[in-house]
Amino acid sequence: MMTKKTVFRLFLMSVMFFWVYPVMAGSILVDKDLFEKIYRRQMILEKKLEKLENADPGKKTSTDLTQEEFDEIADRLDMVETKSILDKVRVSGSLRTRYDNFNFEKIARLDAFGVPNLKDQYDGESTETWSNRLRLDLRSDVTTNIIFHGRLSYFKLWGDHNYDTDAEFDGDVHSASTSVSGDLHVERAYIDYFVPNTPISFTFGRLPGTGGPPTEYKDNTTRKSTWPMLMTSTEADGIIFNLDLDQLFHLKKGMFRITYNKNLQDYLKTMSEKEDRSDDTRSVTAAFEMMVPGVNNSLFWLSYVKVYDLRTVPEKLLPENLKILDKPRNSGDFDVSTAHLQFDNIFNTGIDWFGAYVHNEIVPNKEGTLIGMDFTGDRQTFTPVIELGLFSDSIKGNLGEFREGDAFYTGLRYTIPIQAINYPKIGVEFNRGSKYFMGGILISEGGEITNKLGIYGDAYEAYYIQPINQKHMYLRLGAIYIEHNYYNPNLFFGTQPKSDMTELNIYTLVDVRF
Amino acid sequence: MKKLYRFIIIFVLLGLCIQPRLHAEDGKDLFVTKCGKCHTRGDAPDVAPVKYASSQWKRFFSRDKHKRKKDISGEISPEEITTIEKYLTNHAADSDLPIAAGLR
Repeated sequence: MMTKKTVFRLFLMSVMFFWVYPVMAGSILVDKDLFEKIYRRQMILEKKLEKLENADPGKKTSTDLTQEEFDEIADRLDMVETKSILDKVRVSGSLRTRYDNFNFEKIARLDAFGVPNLKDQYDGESTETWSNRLRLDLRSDVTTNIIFHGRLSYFKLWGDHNYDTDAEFDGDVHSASTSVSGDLHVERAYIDYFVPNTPISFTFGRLPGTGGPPTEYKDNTTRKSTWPMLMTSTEADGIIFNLDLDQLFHLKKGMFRITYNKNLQDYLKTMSEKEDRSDDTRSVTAAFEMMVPGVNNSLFWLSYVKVYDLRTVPEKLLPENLKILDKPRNSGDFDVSTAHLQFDNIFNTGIDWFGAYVHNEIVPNKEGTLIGMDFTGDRQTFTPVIELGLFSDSIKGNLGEFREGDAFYTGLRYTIPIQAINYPKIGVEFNRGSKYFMGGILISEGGEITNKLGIYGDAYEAYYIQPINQKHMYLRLGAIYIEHNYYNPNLFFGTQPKSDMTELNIYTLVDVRF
Repeated sequence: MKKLYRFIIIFVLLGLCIQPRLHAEDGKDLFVTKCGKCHTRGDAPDVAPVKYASSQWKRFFSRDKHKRKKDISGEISPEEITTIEKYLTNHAADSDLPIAAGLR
């Protein structure tokens, strides 16, 4: 039996549960002072809100601009925008000043026929030779898929014109980055047209074909041309069909190119009644390149070039006592196969390496250019003395003989990891060209008298690059030593005479990019 | 020609068989996969490194300007942002860009 005390306790618990708890749960006991503080704060905020709602929209506050000021800034921005739109061409460039010392040993004197006489040799030098090279690079993004590129170049010896190279004898292929007179000339001017929503693009105009990989190592820059240097380094006009294999097959940095070039064009060839015109020299190139899988900043390259109807001996090359009496319309065909491999910063060691190999086959015309000699001195009567063909002549009786040549080029560069002196670089290079090597490397881009890559012999180079400013200016000290096995580098006519000549070129240059 | 074929075979083998990564990614892949999620699908304007000069890219990242449009801190880690910033500044409009036919 429950006692009265127990019943009373149960009553009190019921009251607590059903009445007091809901009351407590629905309200909060607040201290009076705190309540007044919150109330005052609320009133202040309500007044501020009311003020803002009634404020004049045109009235200036400390952070706002008036409509007038805003309009003025907009007008100024319009002017900037207009200028930006009209600034269609971006200009960058580089200026190089170079100092050279050249020492030649065992230079053979030429006999009356212009043939080097190995029994009559002398030494020569050209000391303290200064030169300037200017390049102005242009780029215009006409639209997102039409891009113009251009380069205006200038190379000149101080107080002189240019080295007496074969540049003057004919046309584009002998004038990489240089002009004989030292004038500013167009080295590149081409359009890249990217066909929208396809991996296809076309490049046409004066193509980017000079100073290709691995020239960027020595020039302390990035890749600046299409073809590897050992394959060719010439100015040329043409059309390139580009297929972006990266976009098509996700082959990293993969590209396939087909190129058509006109290396020499005689527009009068079919209009003239004369029969001494020349055939046009044309070339077709198929090239493939890609990044080596898994190796960033690498380049793997394979290409094949077929050159048709190479020109005959240029008259300008002959001394005054010699004259062309008769010539075929062309001197033959040749092809060039190239493989190039390049790795930057291998294993993060700071070492860059490249290797390239070129193989060429020549099918000369059996008919050579007939050269006459003036024995009388009257410059009127020229007696036929020799017929010159590609690497052949009538005296040796080897006109029309098939020739094979090749060349190898390798080198490495090391970045010295010293931040305090802007990470200087040292590099070494070696190349060898065989007796019948015939790439597209003709004269140098200014600087050296002999383009070391065009020789029939061995060439060694060592250099040191000291960045003065990491991005814009560097100094290069270097030496090139060349051992010639045969004379007339880059001149493919006649039987190549043997040579013991050596060249030592010690140089310093400063390059500023802007 | 035999010599040539030999050399080509050596080059092909060298080129195709060297698989290990000789050095770190340069950030392009990260840029394409992470930034390309929005910037190539119309959700945001197209963007490429050449859109700005390197100093502008540096300012963009130092002031976290992307946050004004969208907070991407949940999608891209600070390390990844650093890599992307390095890629964009290295390939900016005023950088030393590679040149060859058909390269943008």
